[in-house]
Amino acid sequence: MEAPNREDILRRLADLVVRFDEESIVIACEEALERGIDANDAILNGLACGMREAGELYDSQEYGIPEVLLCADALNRGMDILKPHVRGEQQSMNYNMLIATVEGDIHSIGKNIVKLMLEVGGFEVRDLGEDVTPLQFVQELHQNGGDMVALSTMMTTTLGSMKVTIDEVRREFPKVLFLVGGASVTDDTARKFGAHGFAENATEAVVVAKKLSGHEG
Amino acid sequence: MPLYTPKEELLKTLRGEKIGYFPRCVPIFTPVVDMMKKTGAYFPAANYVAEPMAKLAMAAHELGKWNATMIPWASTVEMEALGCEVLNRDDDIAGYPQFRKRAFTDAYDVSFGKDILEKGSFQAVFGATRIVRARIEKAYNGEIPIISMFQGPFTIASYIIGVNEMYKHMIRDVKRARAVLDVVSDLNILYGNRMLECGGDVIVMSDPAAEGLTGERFAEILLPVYQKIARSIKAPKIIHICGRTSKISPHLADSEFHGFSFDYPGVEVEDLQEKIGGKMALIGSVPTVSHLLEGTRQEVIDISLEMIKRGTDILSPSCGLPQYTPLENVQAIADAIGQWNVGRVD
Repeated sequence: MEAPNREDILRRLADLVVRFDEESIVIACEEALERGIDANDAILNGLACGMREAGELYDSQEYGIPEVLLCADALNRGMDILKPHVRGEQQSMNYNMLIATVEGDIHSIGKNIVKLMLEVGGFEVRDLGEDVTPLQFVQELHQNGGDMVALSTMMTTTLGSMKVTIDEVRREFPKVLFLVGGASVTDDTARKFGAHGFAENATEAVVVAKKLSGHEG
Repeated sequence: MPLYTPKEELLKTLRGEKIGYFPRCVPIFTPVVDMMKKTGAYFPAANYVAEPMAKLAMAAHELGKWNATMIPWASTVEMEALGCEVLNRDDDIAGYPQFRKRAFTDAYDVSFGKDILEKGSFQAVFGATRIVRARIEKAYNGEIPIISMFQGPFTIASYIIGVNEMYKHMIRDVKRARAVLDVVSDLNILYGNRMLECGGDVIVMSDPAAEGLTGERFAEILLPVYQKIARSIKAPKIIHICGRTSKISPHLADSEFHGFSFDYPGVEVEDLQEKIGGKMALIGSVPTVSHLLEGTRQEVIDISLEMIKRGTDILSPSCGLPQYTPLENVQAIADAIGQWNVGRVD
């Protein structure tokens, strides 16, 4: 019997993410490594592809939040196996991102998925959590620096916090870029708030972040 | 003169009866800062104390011209009473109570005692409902409907045991999901009926977390819980779910609720007309951010008239009003209804 080729192996990894099969994905990742598949290749063109497909299924409402959460769990299980095998020079790009849900909003699911996809996309992302005040951002930037701030809010009642955060952080760090998203945010709102980028979903967030940070293509 | 009072208009429309003009009431209300300034009733007190809550509730009609009012507005009332940690900031006059920490770590632990309605802000809600009922009777001959709002079972369940946990239970541990929904729906029924006893006319069950479910999972697990609630509360009932609900909404027709408050542009009114039109009254949907918060009065009027033309049965904001929505934009919904009814009501 012919051994599965690279495409088949990567396709299987993607499918197992989409089917949120946490048990099989561990075995499949181990097998991929045994067959000489590069760990970075397996992450970017296997697991991450599956997560993108899950995102598309969510956008078309074939999947709901439960399915997407379980896909992310499967992806994480795979990452646990593959990450230790990623070679040093392939590890994350030298770009520093912060992510959080704005003050007054405790929604974490969308933000966590965006963080996961940004990490898979090669960004180093520091997660400040939920309900994060402008002051917390300023303090974090003073202490550990940062090139881009990604902000999320799900509620119309906390949209104002997003604007305040952008204004206050910008006053002290005029060069920091802002990427925003979340259920209550529109492209138009993002522009009015002075954000540099807006993303409708997690996949788009990675594309926009790469564009803004000059890592396109 | 209109044939019916605003309350009759709402009740008839929810029953699927035609009244010959567009109902004048706007049911899904949350207060804006302009109303707080004019009434002197601010958050956080107005979420916890009956008198300021009642003052802001009256503002829906007296300042917003909405021919209806809704109580309460905070999504945390039930969660707080069930033991979730909630934060209020005294320096934020418009800030809603913020959820902080879940109450239970295991769905099987979820329960509540006989004294549950003595806890949290339940008594303030009942007190405010009684005050508003008395004021509406006295000043408006009882013609303005009071909408009593509670959070839906899936949203409460998600917060009290953890949002991630609840969503995952919907696939990995359906027994646990059903167990917590069963307890929470008992509270929905108890609380909803008590609000009606205090003077509420119509129920709104707001269940935003349900938006995250696929149609199949919604129908299999949540729909029977909605039916249980519907059968145990004998009053006209509206479901509000914001966001993208085109996969869930077809199932709502079987929920035994009378109206669906939808969120445009998360779902299109024509889509709803096709799927549930005639079975449920469609309520909505003036976009809260792009129009009510950020638009002009004329833009609010225009989108309101567009919604009426496209087939909504009752106008309402698509979701909770952002607190800094200008009062003239709040009033613009009523203005649009007035314009539409010119020549239709006399």
